[in-house]
Amino acid sequence: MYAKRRRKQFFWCWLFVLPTTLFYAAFQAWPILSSIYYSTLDWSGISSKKTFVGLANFAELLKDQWFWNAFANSFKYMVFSVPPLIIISLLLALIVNEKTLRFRGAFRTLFFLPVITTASIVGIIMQFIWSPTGAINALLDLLGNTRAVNFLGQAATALPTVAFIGVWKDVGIYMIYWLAALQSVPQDVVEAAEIDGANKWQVFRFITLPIILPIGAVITLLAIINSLKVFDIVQTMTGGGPYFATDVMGTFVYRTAYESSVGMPRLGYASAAAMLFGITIIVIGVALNALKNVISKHRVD
Amino acid sequence: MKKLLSLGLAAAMAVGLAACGSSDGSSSAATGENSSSGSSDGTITLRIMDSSDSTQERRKVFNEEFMQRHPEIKVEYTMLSGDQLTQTLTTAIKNGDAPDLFCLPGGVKLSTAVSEGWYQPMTSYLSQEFIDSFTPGSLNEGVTTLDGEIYVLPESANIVNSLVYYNRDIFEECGLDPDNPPQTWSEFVEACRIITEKGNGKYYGIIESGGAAQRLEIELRSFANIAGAKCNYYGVMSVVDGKNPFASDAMKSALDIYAQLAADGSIHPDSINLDAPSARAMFAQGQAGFLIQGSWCIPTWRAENPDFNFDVMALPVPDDGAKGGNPYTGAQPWMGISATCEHPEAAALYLTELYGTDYQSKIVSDGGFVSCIEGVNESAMTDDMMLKYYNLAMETGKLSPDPLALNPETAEVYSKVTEVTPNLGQIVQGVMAGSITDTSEALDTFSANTQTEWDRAMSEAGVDASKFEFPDWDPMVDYDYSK
Repeated sequence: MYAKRRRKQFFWCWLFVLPTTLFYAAFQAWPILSSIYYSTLDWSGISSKKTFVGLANFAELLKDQWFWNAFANSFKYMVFSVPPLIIISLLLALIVNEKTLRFRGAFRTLFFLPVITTASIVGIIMQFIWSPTGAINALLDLLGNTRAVNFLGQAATALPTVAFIGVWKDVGIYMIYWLAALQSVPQDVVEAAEIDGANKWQVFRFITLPIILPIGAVITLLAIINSLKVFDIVQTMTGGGPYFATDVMGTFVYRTAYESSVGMPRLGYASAAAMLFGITIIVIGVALNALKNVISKHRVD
Repeated sequence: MKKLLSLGLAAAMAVGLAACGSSDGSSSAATGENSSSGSSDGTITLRIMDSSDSTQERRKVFNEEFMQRHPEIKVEYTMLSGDQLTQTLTTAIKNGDAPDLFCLPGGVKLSTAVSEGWYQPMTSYLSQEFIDSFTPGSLNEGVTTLDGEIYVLPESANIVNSLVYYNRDIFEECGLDPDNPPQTWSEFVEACRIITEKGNGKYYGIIESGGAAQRLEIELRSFANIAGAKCNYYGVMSVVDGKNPFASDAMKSALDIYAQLAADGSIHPDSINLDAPSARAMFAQGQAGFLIQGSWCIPTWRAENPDFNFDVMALPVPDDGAKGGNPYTGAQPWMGISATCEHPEAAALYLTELYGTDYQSKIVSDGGFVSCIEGVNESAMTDDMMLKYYNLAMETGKLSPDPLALNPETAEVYSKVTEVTPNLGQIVQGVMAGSITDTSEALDTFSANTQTEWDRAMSEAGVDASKFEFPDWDPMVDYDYSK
């Protein structure tokens, strides 16, 4: 009787998981597997001529200055974007979580708006706003700065600017994550502390923060991985330029796979770059996950 | 369990990136429609795909009229831009779902396409009268034709697409003579400097489409060729004295123009991230004195900036005079009939009418377009500026030898050679951004890397470098293809 029920349960579980599994297999697993296969080929992606070259693509990548440039830029982008993203989104969440704040819903919507705006449109508009003749420079001009700053056109400022815009675009979604975390803080504990005379800072420091910290670790992990995968916003704003200054792994892979001026594009080589970087991210993900578990152990329940 | 789950989640997100290297993307496959081209009621469906955005509106009207004249044929026309077209087409072809008529994607040579079985020969479906209506040099063995069989037709006649537009109003404001624009490199650089200085942030000497590396490379090659580099047109491999021409003095002096303009602050600061249409639009808004682009600008400005007071001039020459012309190659391959097309007669009929004087005259009179059909340009080109552009282009442009047309076996090399990073356009970008300060060293490195790659591709293809070298080429005159 019990076994039969288990079997029935088992059946229904699989039935409900099936559509997602099929979609995952078709649109995630299959492309990943074929990418692994492509990464071992000398193949333009256009002709049917594919030569199996084993690990030659990987060996060449390790010596490719522009691959390492993109590799480093991806991590620079992470360094520029993740800390402000996490801190600002937490602050915003704390503010809009405040029950005394009027129009809380409206503020949440406002901060969330950039998240649902298409990245390519954000990219094009931001190009105008940050241009030497754009709004930001007009503002700097009012403040007394006479020489226009070419934020997206200079190697030194391009990547931080793109990261800043990335933060602006994504801060809303991380605010929502933090809000979910904040709502898991038991109100009775907070009230008890307030009765004991704790001020807002003390409540945050000694009650809220320890409780949300493990969720914070997950949020940070998400932010790190997403920042390493950045593509659309960079592609539309700078296309990896000026002169590879914002060339992240996403734009490197795209350019190598589809663009060429004289010769053929190199889909196989691009796949190998994507695989190599994918492995790097997995390693980082695993390491951070281990770190997160250490933090969880210190959780105050 | 939870731990496993979150680990799995992290891994799944991480490999999401890896997945973007795949060409099996679902989004491009989704554009393929029902591949059946015949239906039960006897109508034939012709699916057509290309990237001709500038003639798009005329084309839609043409398609409607074509269907009215031939009610038995239904035309489904799709216009996609550059990269998008390459991805969609290659996926569609692999899935056996190629459109009936489609253009050759950028970077792919005809011989590659034919050996991949993309196109069917169309000569037998075309009348001799139709073939004869093309101007001489439009249909070339190795370019549009293989072993005497026509596979694709050129979209238009090729003319030089790097002439210099200038803003007459800005010239006057800056005390320059709009009827006497700069002719040499130093005059040009000086004019850019004066305009930038007088503009004081309102306008600059020149605006470039720095985001489009391809445009930059076309310009650089044009400047270099005029200085005698024999580097040929964009995308063409050319060998001079057994080597690639990219480290030559002429090439270096051409790149130095950009270095000088950048050092003077004469290049519009937005340039570095602009694509060609944006640069064109900002130029028309009076943000720069000069712009180097092709004839396609003229109809756009006529429509969108009717009051814009512009003019066109030849590309400036070195101070000690020109040692070559503005390089261009013959008509380029464009549209052919798919090997899987079930109604090649209908497809050929469509082509016959598309190249008819009626439609060709309309797109020529719109401006920006030069037809490869005999007699059309002379009668239909009415815009003064377009005529001026055309005459300047014919005067200063010099036909350069296309190895593909002259030695068709070179196609094998093109299919083997891979991109060298940074390419010429990206180097110009680096100079404009100030990332490259030693221009000479940048070209030396590029030339050495290119040589290694070309040597490899040539030996793999079994084609000698001499097939890319034309000792009888005088860059001051049109190359004689009849030899």
